[in-house]
Amino acid sequence: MVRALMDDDEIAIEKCRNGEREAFRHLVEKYQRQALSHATAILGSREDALDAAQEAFIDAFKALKQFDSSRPFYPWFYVLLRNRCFKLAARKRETESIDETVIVAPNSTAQSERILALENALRALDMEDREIVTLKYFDGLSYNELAERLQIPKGTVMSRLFHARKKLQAKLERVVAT
Amino acid sequence: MKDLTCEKVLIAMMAAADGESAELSPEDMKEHLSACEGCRDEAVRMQQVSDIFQQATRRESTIDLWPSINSRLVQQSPRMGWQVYAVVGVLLLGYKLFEMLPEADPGWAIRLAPLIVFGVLLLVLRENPFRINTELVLEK
Repeated sequence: MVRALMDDDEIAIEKCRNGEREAFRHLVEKYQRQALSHATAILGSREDALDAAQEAFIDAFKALKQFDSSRPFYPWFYVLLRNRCFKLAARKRETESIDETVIVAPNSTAQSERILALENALRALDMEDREIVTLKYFDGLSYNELAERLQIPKGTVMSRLFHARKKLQAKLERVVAT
Repeated sequence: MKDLTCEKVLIAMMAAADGESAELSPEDMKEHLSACEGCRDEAVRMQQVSDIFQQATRRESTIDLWPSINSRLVQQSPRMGWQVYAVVGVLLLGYKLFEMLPEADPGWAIRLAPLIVFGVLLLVLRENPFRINTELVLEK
């Protein structure tokens, strides 16, 4: 009965805690796309994002015993992921070609010039600004969720987001004017 | 008119546009905007940036991380504890002492015992201790 009340993540986590490594596959496969997108947005590089996401998943596996199963997995994992991203950033590789978008994808109505400009503007931001802007405008997190995810007060979220947007705006000025 | 800074008004406008509760009332914002051309221009630019985000989404990757994570986890899985080696050591030592007894005359089958123990150990460990690992790198 208790088991019926547990969701897939909780069951997988419980199995991992009991030494079933294969159960971790569920969590990796469920969250890897999200993790890679977030890591790419922070680091601005797919290769680095791949390294960071792998390391973060291994960190998570090792730390599962400390995870509070009553809470959702991904926000907890995200903290490990961003720690890995910031560590990796110190020895960052060259970013990919500027003609290729790794953070942004166009939706059906998009003009490719604008998408490329947004990509370049985002890449020109520092990591923390890029992170908060993409979490807000791609993932649609509320200010409270951002505060929880980034472990900062809500007031700081607002001011950091405002200044990040201003910097982005300045970098997009030429495109926005057309 | 309240004494509001432009930044405070713009942050409140951003919050309102994001569907969050703003610290200022709509009337306060309107009043400030009507008197501040800079903030009116800024509001237009903020909207233009939001419009660009409307046309974009996150680029998603389809790379499967599991095979590499799995092999890393296998490599890092806990190795045989020191207790196993201690037991093997005690067994071998006991055997040597037994061999040294003057009246002991172990047959050839018994003489093979250390070799058998060693072979079993290799099987359990599933690892060749004489293999040279060329992938080892020094940690920086």
